[in-house]
Amino acid sequence: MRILLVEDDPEQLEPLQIALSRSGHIVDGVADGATARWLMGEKNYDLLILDWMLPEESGVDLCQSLRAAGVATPTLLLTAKDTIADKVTGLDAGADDYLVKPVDLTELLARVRALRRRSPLWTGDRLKLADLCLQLDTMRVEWKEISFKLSSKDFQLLEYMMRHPRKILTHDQIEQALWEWGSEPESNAVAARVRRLRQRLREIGVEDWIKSIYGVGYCFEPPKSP
Amino acid sequence: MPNWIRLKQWKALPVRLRGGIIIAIPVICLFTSLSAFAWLKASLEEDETVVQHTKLVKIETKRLLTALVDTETGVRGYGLTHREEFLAPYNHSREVIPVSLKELESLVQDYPKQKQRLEEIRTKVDRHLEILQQKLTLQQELKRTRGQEELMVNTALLYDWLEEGKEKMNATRVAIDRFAQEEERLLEVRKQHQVFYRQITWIVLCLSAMIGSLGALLAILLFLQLERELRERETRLQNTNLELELACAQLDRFTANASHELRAPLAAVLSNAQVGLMELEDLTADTTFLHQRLEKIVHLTKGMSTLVGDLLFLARHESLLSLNSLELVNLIDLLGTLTSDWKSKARSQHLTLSAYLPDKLVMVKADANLLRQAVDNLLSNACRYTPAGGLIFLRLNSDNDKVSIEVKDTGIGISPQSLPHIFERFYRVNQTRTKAKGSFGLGLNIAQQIVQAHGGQITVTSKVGQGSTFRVVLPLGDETNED
Repeated sequence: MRILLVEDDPEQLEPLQIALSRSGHIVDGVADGATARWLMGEKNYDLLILDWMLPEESGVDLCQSLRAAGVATPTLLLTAKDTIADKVTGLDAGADDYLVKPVDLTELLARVRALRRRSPLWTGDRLKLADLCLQLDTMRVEWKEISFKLSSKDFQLLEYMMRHPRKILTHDQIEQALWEWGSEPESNAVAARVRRLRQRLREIGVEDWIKSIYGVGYCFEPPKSP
Repeated sequence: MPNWIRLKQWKALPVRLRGGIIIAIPVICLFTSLSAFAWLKASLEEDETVVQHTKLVKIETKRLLTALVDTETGVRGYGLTHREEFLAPYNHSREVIPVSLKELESLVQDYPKQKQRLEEIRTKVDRHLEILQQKLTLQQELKRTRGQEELMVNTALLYDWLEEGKEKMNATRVAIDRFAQEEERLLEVRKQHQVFYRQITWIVLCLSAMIGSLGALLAILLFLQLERELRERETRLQNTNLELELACAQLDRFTANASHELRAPLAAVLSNAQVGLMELEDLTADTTFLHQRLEKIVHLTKGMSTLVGDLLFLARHESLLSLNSLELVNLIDLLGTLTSDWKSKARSQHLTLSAYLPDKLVMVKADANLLRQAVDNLLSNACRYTPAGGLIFLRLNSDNDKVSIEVKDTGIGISPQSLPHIFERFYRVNQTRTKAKGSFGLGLNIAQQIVQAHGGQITVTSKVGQGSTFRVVLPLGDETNED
């Protein structure tokens, strides 16, 4: 899931970003509303996590104007404001959920999972292709009798590929989808990640699902049964 | 505004009294003028009556005089001619005179002096008439005894009689004239009196008009001054209101800022510690020690977060609740939900929570969230200070005008020395004990503040080793008193 996290305090932004990434999400962290607004136009996000007190434009104002512009992305307000009146204001501005800082990370992750389930694009907590099954909540991959937990990086790549099966995915597309905003992938980074995932899958006996299309990219396809 | 109106005494009077005075001034002026006018009018009416009366007396006197002259002339004519027709006016006058006298008597009844004079006149008239009658009788006797030829009486003798009658007549006339003059004089006096009163009427009218105008003017000035004062007061009130609102806004800003500034580092510490815990999961080496440290940081941060929340709560609800934020709350529902929340928590600490709620509806005017927080704090304390196996009771009783919520436990209790202080902020009965239980000593203070903000009271009774009872008494919300 691609998440846009808007938080002006880097001390708070960084651990949140790490925690969310570790759970298999791709998190773009920005410090102000203007950048967030611009990024919203550039990419499709599955979830928006907003701080209330931001420089210049507050998180609530941002949420309100996005809703007014017809943006339906699920939004979670994460703020130090704790009165009932604040909560009402925040939720009425269009937020789908409201959490008061300091928030317990396990609760935050649970809320994020809950919001994903409420998304109109939600297709269940697992992806299945032939006999290969990917649990989105637990980042586990299941193949026949074997169950295996993936690292967040491998999980992100596999999720992306399983969502676009039998399609040619270019290097650029994979970079765009999996790399966080502001991070520069090295020239062979995509190839390295694909190689690692192939290695992981081979360990449980899933072989030759990721095909290389020379000079273009990759294609995820279950091998035709002999 | 002239300075004399800005009298300190005047300003010190209550507004109601001043308004009364302002209204009273023109009203008093009006009534004074009206009564003065009425009195003068009555006096003039009386004068008019007296004048009319005097005029009547004059007319009657004139009639009397004419009648007297008629008798005289009649008798004299008869004496000279012996003709019966000359006796007609005499006889007529004899009838008129007593009537006239009687009339006069009734008219001058109120004037003793005139009455006396009238008596004199009456005697004189009577005497005069008597003489005339004697003369007449004599002449008729003579006529009868002497026969037709010797009808002629000695002329000289007759003349003497006549002269005597004339004198008597003159005396009577003088008396009547005097009487008439007296009446004339009285009339004059009355008229002067009337004129004098007419003048007074005018003067009084002019004076009352002037006083009335002045009074009205004064009333207007006083009213304007009062109005200005009221306006000043209103402005002052508005200013005070504005200042209060400003102070409120400032407090709101302060708590919002404090909330942000205090919670931001806590949030960073908590998430960093929790991320650290997640990272530890990936390590294969034994990380129990590190894990414990990080868990401790998480635990302490959460505690700090609670403390910050409590302090901010106290800062926000320092004053009485504004009445419009209160609504009718069904206590049965509120306590019922709380009970089900706390039953499982109590069970996890091996405690038994029993609630006794009446069947009927119990409504109080309250802020439901705050009230829930207060009872929540009491239940939390009861669970914290009751050893495993203990009992906790939540009881609701309602009277005619108040309700009481009772939280009772069979816990460790509070010593008599500590009892008066337990509602103080950060007060801890026993440092070591409370530390072990992980509380900051704000829960009871918050509960007390909430209850007091609702116009209620919180009391406690306790015995060491037997348990404590906290009782919250709230005024009953009455639907009929609404609005």
